[in-house]
Amino acid sequence: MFVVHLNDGKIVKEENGITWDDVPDGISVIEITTPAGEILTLPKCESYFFSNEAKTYLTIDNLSTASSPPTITASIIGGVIGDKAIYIKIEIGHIHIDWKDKKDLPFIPSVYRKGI
Amino acid sequence: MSIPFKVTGAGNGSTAQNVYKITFSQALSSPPVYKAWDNSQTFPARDVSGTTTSHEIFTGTTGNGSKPMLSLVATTSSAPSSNWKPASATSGSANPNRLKGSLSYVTDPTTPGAGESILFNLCLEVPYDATVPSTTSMAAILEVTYTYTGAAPTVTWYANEGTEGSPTWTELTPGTHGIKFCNSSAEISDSTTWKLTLPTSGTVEDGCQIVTT
Repeated sequence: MFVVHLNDGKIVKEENGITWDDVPDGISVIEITTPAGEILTLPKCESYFFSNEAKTYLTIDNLSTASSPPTITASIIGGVIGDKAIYIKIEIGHIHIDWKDKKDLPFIPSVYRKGI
Repeated sequence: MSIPFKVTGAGNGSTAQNVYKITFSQALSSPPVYKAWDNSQTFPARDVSGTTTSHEIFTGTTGNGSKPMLSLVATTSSAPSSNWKPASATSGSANPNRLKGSLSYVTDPTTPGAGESILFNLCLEVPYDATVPSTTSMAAILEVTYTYTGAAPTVTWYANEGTEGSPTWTELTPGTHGIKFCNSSAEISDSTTWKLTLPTSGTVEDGCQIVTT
């Protein structure tokens, strides 16, 4: 779950149907709660991104396939600083933190929110 | 028409764009990614997630130079050229590609908005010396990873039983419907013909793909 602290003092939490789509520009601090209950605070960034990751499957067995319902597998959160981005992928039992080139981020422009 | 049916335009010899379709009810935030992994469960059950690629469908055999056998082309943006199946797997993402876990996979060229779809085609190329029966050696899962920022999308898989120009998209019901990779001579009315016959040398591609229960 993310907790976004805005420049105007408001706080937006990912709960009760609130999603990243409800987060405006003007972020001062972002925290995210891991499945273990730990709270990670992102460094100050020029802009921030967040997405849930899910997977859906076809099963191939004896040359046949069947589809299965999707499952949510991770939350991805991070921020952009210059040409670099901190990229945090939180899965059950795993937290991956990478520095990526900004150009390698897969997200569409509407995902990003400006920091202050 | 009704299930079972032959999927229109399926396979490597096809330039069709409308073969398989996945629709997302809500907007995504990045292009979906196709990967394939081992499945250790019994059809139609599947592993919770893919982690290994040790089955023969990924390792290949001496007869095919140890190449992955399952190929995928994303056709959302454009139709593929005929014989789109790549000769070998490309490391990382490529379109088309031979699928093998995170070593070789396909990224769709688009990011679907709410209610939009992605399109793809499949090909299975099996060498003469593949293990028979293939129950375990071909057990795999085709995984589509997608991301979103708002409400969780409902994801629906379809196959085309109409024509390329006027597709009729039939939904694949989870755990009920399946796809068989068969000889081109397979008859819808005779399920005993729904098989892929290995050659005495070289490799064979699926001649048709049949949606069945």
